[in-house]
Amino acid sequence: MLGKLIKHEFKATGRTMLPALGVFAVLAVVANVGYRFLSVSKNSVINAMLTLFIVLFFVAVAAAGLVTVVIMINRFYKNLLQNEGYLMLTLPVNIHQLMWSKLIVSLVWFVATAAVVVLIIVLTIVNFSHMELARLFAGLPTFTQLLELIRAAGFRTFRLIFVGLEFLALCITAGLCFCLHFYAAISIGHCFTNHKGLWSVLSYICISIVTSLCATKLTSLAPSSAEIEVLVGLMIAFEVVIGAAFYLISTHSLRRGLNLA
Amino acid sequence: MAIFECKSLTKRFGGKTALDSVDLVVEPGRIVGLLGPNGSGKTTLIKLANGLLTPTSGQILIGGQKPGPATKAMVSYLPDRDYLPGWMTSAQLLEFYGDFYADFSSENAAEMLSRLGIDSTMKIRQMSKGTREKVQLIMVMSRSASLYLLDEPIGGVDPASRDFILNTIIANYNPGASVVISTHLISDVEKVLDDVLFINEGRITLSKSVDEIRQDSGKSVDALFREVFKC
Repeated sequence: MLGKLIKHEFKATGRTMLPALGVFAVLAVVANVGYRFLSVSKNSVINAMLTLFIVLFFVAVAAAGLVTVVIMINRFYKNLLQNEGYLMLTLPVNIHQLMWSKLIVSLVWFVATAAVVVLIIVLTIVNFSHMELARLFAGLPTFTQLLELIRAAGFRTFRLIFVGLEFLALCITAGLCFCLHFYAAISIGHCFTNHKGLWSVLSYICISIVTSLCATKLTSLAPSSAEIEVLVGLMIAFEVVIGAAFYLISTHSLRRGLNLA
Repeated sequence: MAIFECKSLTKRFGGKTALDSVDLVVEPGRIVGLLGPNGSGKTTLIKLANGLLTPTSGQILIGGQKPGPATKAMVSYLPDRDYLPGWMTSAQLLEFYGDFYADFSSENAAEMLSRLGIDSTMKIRQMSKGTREKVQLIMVMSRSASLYLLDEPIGGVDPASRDFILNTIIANYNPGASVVISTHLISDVEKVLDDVLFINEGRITLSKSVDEIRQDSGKSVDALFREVFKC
């Protein structure tokens, strides 16, 4: 059933996400091409347009991230806590399958958005002239030099792979935690009879304060001489613990405290 | 075994008691009217049966089990509001219901939709309120469920649509199954009911068959309801 939920979640979100990512990519490409053609001009009007294109590019990047987050929040709120909840919460599935379908699909869209942003940035770099490209990279070490630097710092291949996997795990747990933070706050807000939106926002703020305090405490406890693997491992453990807490709060609220309007 | 059973079922919201020690049994093959004025606890009882609320105390059982994924596969539920995603077309709805409910008949649903002249590419949000309610009912009644829980299926629709809805229920429900229809529009549903439950202020005040009511009181269910719930 999880597979079916994921399929329908992709259908529901894809109808907004795919066009949004497409529009974002087109905007960014237009901005890039515009920049390349107009940057040679001395005309002040054209220069103003050039600035507009650059602004447009950054707006597109910000909008892509914002749309992804808004859809993640909106799907949880509308699909489970509003009228559509009568359909979704009476399907022959359990609450964990509903939660994971939303989490997995949100994570995939985060990755897709990040991939499009990276692609556009790469395109931007390619669009620069060779001169500019050379200037841009002049101060940076080459890939071979970078590898040598890493090896010199004591990283063997195995260790490098391990740290890479750790960073990947950190990205996944942080992404899940980011979603669950919103889910937990909204779920708590919806256990109140009135002002559910206000309680959700207040819950979000309170949870943020508590997690920040915990993170600060944890950072102060970590030994300053700790290896990077240990530090990243601690960060993953922290994300897993608070993520599990958010997950329990969300599922408990949906099961026990929910009263759909 | 009873398909739907409540034992001392109580639900409180803060200090307000919505259901107070409700005991009831619905046997298979019956069409039951859950009748009561607004705010009497009808929707709360149906939400509890669907696992959308949890009891404060007591038990609610569907086919002998507490509400959960297994009972949700047995129950076909029509909420008292627009609950289908507005962006979906009726064709997408057929696929959705077919994916999640093994007892859903896409053929029956498609046939009923085409009889009503509903375009399969039309989105739910583009439909009129009456058409949306009919589509919702078609989805619910195209399942071969053991228990149909219909919350106000004829509330807010015109008399012609009421006839369509009641005919759809009678023509499509699985004969071995039970149907619970919650409503306060008694005269319209009376003709299809086998049994009646009167509910008031969270308590079941009467549980009888329609024939018993007619024999004992010499009145129609509608007339008895008006007498019992007279303001």
